[in-house]
Amino acid sequence: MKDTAKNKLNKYISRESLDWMAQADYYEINKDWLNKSALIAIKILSTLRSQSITQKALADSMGVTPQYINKVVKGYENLSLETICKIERSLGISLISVPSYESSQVILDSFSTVPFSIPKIESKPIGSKKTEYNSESKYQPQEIHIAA
Amino acid sequence: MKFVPIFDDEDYLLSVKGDHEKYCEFDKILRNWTDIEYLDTFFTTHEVDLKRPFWEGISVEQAIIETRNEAIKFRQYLRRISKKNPSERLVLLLRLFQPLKKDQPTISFLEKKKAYGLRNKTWLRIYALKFGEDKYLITGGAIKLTDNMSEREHTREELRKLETCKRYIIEEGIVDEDGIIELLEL
Repeated sequence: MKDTAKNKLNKYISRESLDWMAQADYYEINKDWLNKSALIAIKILSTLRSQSITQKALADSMGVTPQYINKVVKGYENLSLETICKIERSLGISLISVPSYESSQVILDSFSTVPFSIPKIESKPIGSKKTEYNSESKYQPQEIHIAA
Repeated sequence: MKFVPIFDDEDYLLSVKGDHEKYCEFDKILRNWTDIEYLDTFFTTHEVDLKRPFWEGISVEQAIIETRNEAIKFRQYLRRISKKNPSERLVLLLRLFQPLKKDQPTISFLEKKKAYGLRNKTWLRIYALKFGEDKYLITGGAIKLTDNMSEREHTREELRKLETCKRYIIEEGIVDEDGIIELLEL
């Protein structure tokens, strides 16, 4: 009886490559961008819903295929900055923000009026660099924020 | 119907795979629980259940994030235990599954089981049939937002799958009347 059951069961066992293991290993290596891709997908889907836009309409406005947009909204796609900017423009939303640099200089209309001078470099004692450093550009550090 | 071993070197944990399906049930649920589009559709469809006081007013977006994070943690946990030796792994697997219903007999023929996700308040469920002493056949899984499985179609479907698999195993004579099978070491 047992042998019969054994043989019968054997017919039903299928040893094949396991998707979940491959996915787990892939995630370990790529989790930084995969997590961001997932948050972007959530934002896109919630915007499509609130603006009553279909994935196809978004694809058309971006000049890509609906299949590509479908991959993006699953949260598995490694998006380029170009694609992110296209989505932002098409939906009128912001998906990521990056550190901004504000110039304190006034940009003049004509090169002919730009006063040109070579900065004077004075000799300083070693170790004075940190305290003397003064950039005219304001650095505003910001974490990349993806609105969910 | 085929049974796919979840770990490649032994058969404690198997998953059902339909004849024309690309993935087994276990692969399918883990794929769904990390697929943002699937989760968005699911939680917007079941938003009314998500608004029950038990879930403390969680938004659709937050529910998607929580589900994905939990599924990934669960998958990584299984990946870690897949690297352990079979006897150590068995001890950890046996802790995962509990009776499907609190009032069902402790020992029953092809007992219906469930495993919870890893959070305290988790809505993730994996459903399985217990073979013999220590072997489990996964029949599916669900995001369960209600008290009873009979309340929603997607959880009713999981009950049907459990019953269909049980009937199939009996009809095909894969398991004897004591519910004991001997799996081949291939």
